[in-house]
Amino acid sequence: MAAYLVRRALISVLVLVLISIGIFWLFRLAPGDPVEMMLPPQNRGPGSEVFIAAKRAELGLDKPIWVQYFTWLGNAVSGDLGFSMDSGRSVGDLLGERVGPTVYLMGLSLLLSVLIAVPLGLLAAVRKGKLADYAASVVSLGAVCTPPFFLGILGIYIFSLKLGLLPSAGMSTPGEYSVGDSLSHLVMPLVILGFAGSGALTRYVRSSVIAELHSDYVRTAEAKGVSATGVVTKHVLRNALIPVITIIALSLPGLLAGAVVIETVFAWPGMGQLAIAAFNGRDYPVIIGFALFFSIMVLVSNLIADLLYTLVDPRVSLR
Amino acid sequence: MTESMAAGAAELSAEARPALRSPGKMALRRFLRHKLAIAGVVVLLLVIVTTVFAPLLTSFDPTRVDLSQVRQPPSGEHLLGTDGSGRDVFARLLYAGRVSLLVGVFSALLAVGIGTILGAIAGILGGWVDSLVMRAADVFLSFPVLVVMIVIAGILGPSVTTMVIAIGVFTWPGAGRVVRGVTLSLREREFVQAAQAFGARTRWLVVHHVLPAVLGQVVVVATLAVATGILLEASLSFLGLGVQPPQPSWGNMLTDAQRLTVISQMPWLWIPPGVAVAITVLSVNFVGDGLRDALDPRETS
Repeated sequence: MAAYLVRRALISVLVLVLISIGIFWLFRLAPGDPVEMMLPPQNRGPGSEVFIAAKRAELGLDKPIWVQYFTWLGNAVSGDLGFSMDSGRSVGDLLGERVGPTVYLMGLSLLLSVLIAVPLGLLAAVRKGKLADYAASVVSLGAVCTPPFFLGILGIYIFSLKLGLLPSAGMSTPGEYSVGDSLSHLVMPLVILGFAGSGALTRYVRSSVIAELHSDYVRTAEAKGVSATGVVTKHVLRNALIPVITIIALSLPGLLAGAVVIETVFAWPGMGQLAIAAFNGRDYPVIIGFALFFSIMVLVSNLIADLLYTLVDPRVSLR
Repeated sequence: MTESMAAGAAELSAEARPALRSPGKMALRRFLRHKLAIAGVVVLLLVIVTTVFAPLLTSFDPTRVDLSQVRQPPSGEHLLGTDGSGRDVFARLLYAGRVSLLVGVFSALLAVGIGTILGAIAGILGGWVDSLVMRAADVFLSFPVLVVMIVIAGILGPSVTTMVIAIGVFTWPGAGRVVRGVTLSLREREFVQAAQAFGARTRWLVVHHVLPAVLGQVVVVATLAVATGILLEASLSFLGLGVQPPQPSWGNMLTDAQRLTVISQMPWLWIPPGVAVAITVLSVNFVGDGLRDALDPRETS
């Protein structure tokens, strides 16, 4: 098993290197030479050519492209992601302070998704073809088909503007820190993100439970007199959740994509909002820092999924 | 549309199981029994007709600014009111539908095209090619298009073409896996082995044996990919990463609704495009489910 995981980790590192080459290549494609941008054409005089050449040498832009790549990669690996063109702050610091709010929102909404999807999927599978099944599929299809940002705007319209029950933006009211206040800020982003994530998950739980319901051990358990509820909760659910756990780990990157949208709608001070602000301001160092951070997160989620898959299911044999 | 798909299904299974009714007619019957799928087809046709014939349904130009008609509530003249620049929202909604549907269709075609080719090659050749393609599929699948587009659009600038390509390139694994699965089982069949024994090349095998066999399932995957494409277009354009104003799309019509005054004072600006996306995507999904039941009767989910 160790050999398997080491191999998977090595593949991930290889993929990360490929991605970093891709990001670097994109970065080089970006319009505008950084030095040219420092010195607008109208400010150029006779000595400008010399200055530009000197500045390019100073920044290493005159070196071969692969030397530039390794310099950039070396800096990135040692945590030096450059400085934001907008605020002048270190990209590492900027990303660092945004991770907390995003992880908080994502973690809780993932929990909510699971709390919706497992009972709903189980119910739909056990009552397959009956009213409860159709009701569950209407709910999950609704979650899959409605754009989450539209639900967010609708939520703001109803609960913030018409009813005045919930705040529409941010994590807390400035200058007023209380548990109730931060909870009221959390409710709408959490519920919408959790609901959006539950759609696909409900379908997985349902089909996974249906697949297990036909297993031999179910018949055995029934034959020895285990009650129907007992069979489902003690035997079927435990086995059915094995593939679902992997799916959950694999869905983490997608959840972050959902968080980007919801953070924008609710002005939640997380990674997504930072990324969109960086996009709007064409703040290249922040965009690239976000891309690298996100790529690492994706590959780590994939590794976690592999690891869970092997840990949870003793039947899986590893090559 | 349905008939030609059903006809495709007829070709692929005609020799497999002789029946009193032709398989194509049976598939059509199964599809027609699916009430939600029929409803989906009707709604979808309605959406397509209204967007295609938009110039006949409204006399307003969706991009024409009229500062004397700013922020009008819905009325007889402006069915869904006007936006902050005095543009007619109903006209924008119809023309936006064209863009959103086209993005959905083209990104789905691209995704399914890449996925079918790579999946078929992986399935036929097997070995390291198969491992490589499936590993790549895992990687592509784990990167959400939205995040990829933040990076691409952030560096290269947003455009509709970039968006369609990004959606296609990052959603191909869905079709790829389906096609690979069918191809793997096909490879064990005698007629394929016979063709291989006669020296058939990979290309010939893919065109003559794999593609006809996977057609039904690919159509289902493609339909669902259209739904994904429309949803992604909405999210991307909403964030400013996709279709750029003044060209309207269902996603970017909601961009203005990030301001509280717009949300509260002018619901006619943001409710119609949001509902349009939800209804269209729901219909496409229903049609996809109906097609799955019709074309792939083995898998009754």
